[in-house]
Amino acid sequence: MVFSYLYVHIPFCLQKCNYCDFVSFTNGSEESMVIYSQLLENEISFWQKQNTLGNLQTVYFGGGTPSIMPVDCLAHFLSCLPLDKNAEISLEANPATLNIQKLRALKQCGFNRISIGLQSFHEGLLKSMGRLHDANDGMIMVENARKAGFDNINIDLMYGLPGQTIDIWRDTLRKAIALQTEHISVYGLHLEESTPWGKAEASGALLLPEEDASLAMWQITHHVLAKAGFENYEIANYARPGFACRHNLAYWQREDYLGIGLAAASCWQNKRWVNTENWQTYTQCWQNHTCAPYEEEVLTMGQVLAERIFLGLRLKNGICIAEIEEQFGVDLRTRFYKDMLPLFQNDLLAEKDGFWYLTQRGKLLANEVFAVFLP
Amino acid sequence: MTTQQETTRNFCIIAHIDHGKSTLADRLLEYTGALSAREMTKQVLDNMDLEKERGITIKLKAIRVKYKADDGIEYTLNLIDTPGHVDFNYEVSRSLAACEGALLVVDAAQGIEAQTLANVYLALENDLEIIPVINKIDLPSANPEEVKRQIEEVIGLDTSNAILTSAKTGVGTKEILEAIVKYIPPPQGDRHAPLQALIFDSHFDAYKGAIPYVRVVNGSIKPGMQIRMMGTGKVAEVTEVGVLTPAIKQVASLDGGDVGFLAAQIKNVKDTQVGDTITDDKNPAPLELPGYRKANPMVYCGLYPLDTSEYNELKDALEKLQLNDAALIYEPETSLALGFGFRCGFLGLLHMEIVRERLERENGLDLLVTAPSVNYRITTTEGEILEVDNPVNLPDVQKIGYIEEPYVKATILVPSEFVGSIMELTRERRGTFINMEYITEKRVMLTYELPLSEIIYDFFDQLKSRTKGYASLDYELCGYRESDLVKLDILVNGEVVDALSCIVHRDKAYQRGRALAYKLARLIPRQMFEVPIQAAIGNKVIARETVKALRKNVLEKCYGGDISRKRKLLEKQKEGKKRMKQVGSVEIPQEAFMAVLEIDE
Repeated sequence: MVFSYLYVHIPFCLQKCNYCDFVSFTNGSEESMVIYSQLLENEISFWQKQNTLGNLQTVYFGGGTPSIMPVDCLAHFLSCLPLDKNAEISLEANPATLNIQKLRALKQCGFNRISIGLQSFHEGLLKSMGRLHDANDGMIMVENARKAGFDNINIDLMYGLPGQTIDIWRDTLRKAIALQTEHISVYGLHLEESTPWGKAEASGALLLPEEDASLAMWQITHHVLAKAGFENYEIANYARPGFACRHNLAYWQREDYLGIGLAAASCWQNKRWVNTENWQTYTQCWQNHTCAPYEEEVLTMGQVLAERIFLGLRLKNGICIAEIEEQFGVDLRTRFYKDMLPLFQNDLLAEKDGFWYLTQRGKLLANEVFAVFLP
Repeated sequence: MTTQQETTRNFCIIAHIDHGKSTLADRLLEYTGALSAREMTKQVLDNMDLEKERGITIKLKAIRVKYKADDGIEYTLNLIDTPGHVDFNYEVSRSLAACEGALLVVDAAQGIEAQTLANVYLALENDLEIIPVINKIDLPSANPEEVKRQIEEVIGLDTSNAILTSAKTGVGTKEILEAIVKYIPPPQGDRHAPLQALIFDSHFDAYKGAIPYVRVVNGSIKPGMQIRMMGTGKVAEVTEVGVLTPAIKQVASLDGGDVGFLAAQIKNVKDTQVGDTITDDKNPAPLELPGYRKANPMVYCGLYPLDTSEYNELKDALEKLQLNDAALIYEPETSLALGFGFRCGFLGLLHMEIVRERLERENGLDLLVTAPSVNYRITTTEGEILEVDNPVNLPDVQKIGYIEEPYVKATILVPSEFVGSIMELTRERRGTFINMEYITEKRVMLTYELPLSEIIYDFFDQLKSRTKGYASLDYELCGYRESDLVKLDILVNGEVVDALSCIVHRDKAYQRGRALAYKLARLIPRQMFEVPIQAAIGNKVIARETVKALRKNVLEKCYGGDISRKRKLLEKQKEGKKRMKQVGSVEIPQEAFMAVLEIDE
C-alpha cells in the first residue's frame, strides 16, 4: 500500500455556512489548532512508519477552512512530508481569514495552489449564505494571492441559491472572469437535511429559483466560461489549459489516496474508509500515537467497477472502454447493454474513439446515467 | 354431582370495532390467572404483529381458562375470539357456531353501532345466549342507561342482567365471569356417541402440519385415534390434542362440548377445511354437522412481483398464506404491462391490505397491487353469461348485451344531524334509499342499496369524514343489478396499460378519467423524456396530462473525496427505481396502480 495523493482535513471555521454539512467547528482556539496540527503529524508519521507514503504528487488541504490555521503549523506539517518536486500543494481558503502577509507566508512555505471560496459577488446572497466576507474582500484576496506569487488560483462559485436571479449570476460570472484565475469551480446548491437551509427547505421556508432559472444558470455558465477560455474538464470544474486540479483528477480517475484528519476519507483499491468524526476520540487516540477509529467499507468488484465508470464519466473525455475492460476483465457492452440503451437513445451518453462520455444533456442528468452502472 | 360437561362454558365476545373487545378478553384472562398482569403483553389474543399495529383481530383463536365461581365449583371457560371488522363477518359466524353464548360488548359512550347489530343478528341466528356488557363506563361521556335503552329498543334484548364494566380499570370483570357461568348453558352432546367435531379454524405449523381448531359436539378425540374428515375423506392419525391457556397445553382428550386443537401430521390445510366435520374412522357418525357457507370474495385485484424474477417466490408465499387464510383465493394471470402475476380474491379491502402486507413482510417480497375490482356479470349479445373480475377481460362493446354489477345492502348508523350528508354521499355513489329509522331521538339507522364498486372506492373514509367520525357502516351482498358501465383505459406514453384499466359508470367516466389522469401525472416521476398520460373510453381520449421530462439531476460537489457518500446517494436513487415497475420505457411507481382508489373528484 503506497499513496501518492494526500488529503488533509482541517475542521475549523470562523462561522458555519447555512448550506454546509462538512465536519467543522467554529469555536476552535489557536491552541486547539496547534494541538490538531501536532495530531496530524502523529497520524502522518504512523503511515510513514509503515512505508505507505510514496513521492506525494498532490497534497490537498480541505475543510472546514484550512486557511484559518496558523501558517507555522501548516509549514511544519508540510516539512514532514515526502513531497515530489513537482507536487501540487493546494489550500482551500476563505477570504475572511486571509491577508497579503499570510498569503506570502503560505506561498513561502510551499503552497502552490490556492482555492478561494468566493461563492458569490452579491452582498445579499453572501450574507444569507452565512459568509463573513463581502464581495470586495473576495476580489482583493484574489489579487493579493496573485501578488503573493500564486500562479494557480481557483475560485469557488455557487448557483441556484435562494434569491439568486439569472442576472445576478451573469454578473457573478463576469466578475469572476475579470479576476483572471486559472480555475473556477461552479457548484449548484445541494441541500443537505441537517443544515439550516436544508431544514428551511423541508419546512417550505426557502425560496429557491425556479427549475428553468437554475437550468439557465447552468447553461450560461458553460457558454460564458467556454468563451472566456475555460475548459469544462469535469462536471463542476473549469480550468485554463494545463490547470486542471491534479488532486481532484485523482479522485475522478479512482487513484488510491490517503486522507488524514478528522472525518477524512481514504481509498485503497477496493477499500474505502472514513476517519472518526468525533473530536474527543480522534484527539485522545492520536495523542497516544494510536490509530483513531475509522469506518471501513470493502467494496464488491461490481461496486469498484461502477465507481470507476461513474467517476470517470465526470471527466470531459469520459472513460476509455478498452482500458476498463482490461482492468476488470469484463465486456462492458454485454454487461450494461440493456440499461445503457436508453442513455444513448435519449442523448445522455455518447461514444467516440473508444470512449464513452456524457453529452451536455448527460451532464445535467448525470445521476440518471451513473445509477445505471451500480450493481 | 357435576360432570366436566356441565361445568364447561363456550362463549365468544362480539363487538363493534373499538368497543373494547380485546381489552376485555385480556382482563378475563388476567382475572382467571391464565396470565399474570406482568405476563400480559398488551392484548394477548391479537398475536399477529399486524393485528397489534392496527388494533384489530384478524384470526380467531380459542383460549381455555379455569374459573372458580361463587358457587364453589371450578368451571372451564372457552373463550373463542371473533374478528371485529366487516370484512371478516364470515369468520364471526364460524366462531359463533362453536359457542353457546356471547358477550355483546357495547361502548357506554358510543352506543349501538352498525356492526353491533350485524353481529347480534348472527348470534341470534345461531341460538346463542347473549349477555349485554356495557363497556368503558369510566369514560366521562359514558351513558350506560341510554345504551341499555338502545339495546332494549333496537335489538329487543332484555338488559336487566346487563353488566356495567370498564375493561380498562377492571371494574365488572368478576360479574361478567359469574354471568357467563350463570346464564350461558353448558354444551349439550353425548360423549359416548360416535365422534362429531366441527372445524372452525385451522392454521399451519411447520413441524406439526395443519392444526384444525375444533368444537367437539359428540364423542371424543384422543391421540392415537384414526380420524376422518367427512367432507374431504382424508384419514389421519391423531398425534396430539390440546388447548390454549393461552400457552399450548396438551390434554388427554377433547370430549363432547370441548373446544381445542388437534395435530395429526396433516400436510395440507386443504384437507382440514373449515366447516368440515371430523369423525372416528372406525366408528363414524352417520351425519355431518351443518357446515358453513363458503366465504365468497368481494373484491379482486392483481398481485405482481415488482421484480419479475420473483414470480415463483410470490407463488410459494401465496400458497403458504392460504394455508392460514382459507378466504384468500388466487389464480395465475398475465398482464401485458406487468408480466406474470396472480388474480386474487379478498373478503374486502382490509383483507386485501392485510394479505399484501403479510406477503411482503413475511417473505421479503416487493409487490405491486392493481386497483381492486368487483366481479361483474356480463350477458353477451348471444346470451352467454360471463363473470369478469378484471376489467381487461371485458369483451368488446359490440359483444356485450348488458352488464350487471354486485349490489350491497348497507346499514348506516349516524347522529340525525348528519342524515343530509349521508344522503348526499349515497347519491354520489349511485345509492338507492331503502329505509330510515330513528333508533333513539338523536340517532338514525339508514338503509341503502349501493353498488359494491362504489363502496370499495374510499366510501368508508368519506363516510367518516363527512360525519366527523360518528357514522358506522355494515353491509352485505344483496344481488346483481344491471348498470350502464364502460371500460376506462389509461394510456401512458401512447400505450394502454392494462393494469390501470377500470370499469366505471358511464355518467362518471369523464370525471373519473380526468381525475385519474391528473393523479397519475403527479404520481409518475419525471423521466428522461416527456410522458403523455391519457384516459380513454374505447378509442376516444377524454383526458390528457403530461409528465414533463426530467431536466436536471446531477450532484456537482465532491465531498472532499468521500466517494462512498456519492455512491450511496446513487444507490438510494437506484433503490427507488427498483420500487417502480418498468412499463414500456416508463417507470411507474407502485402507488400509481392504486391511484384509482385515492382520486379526489
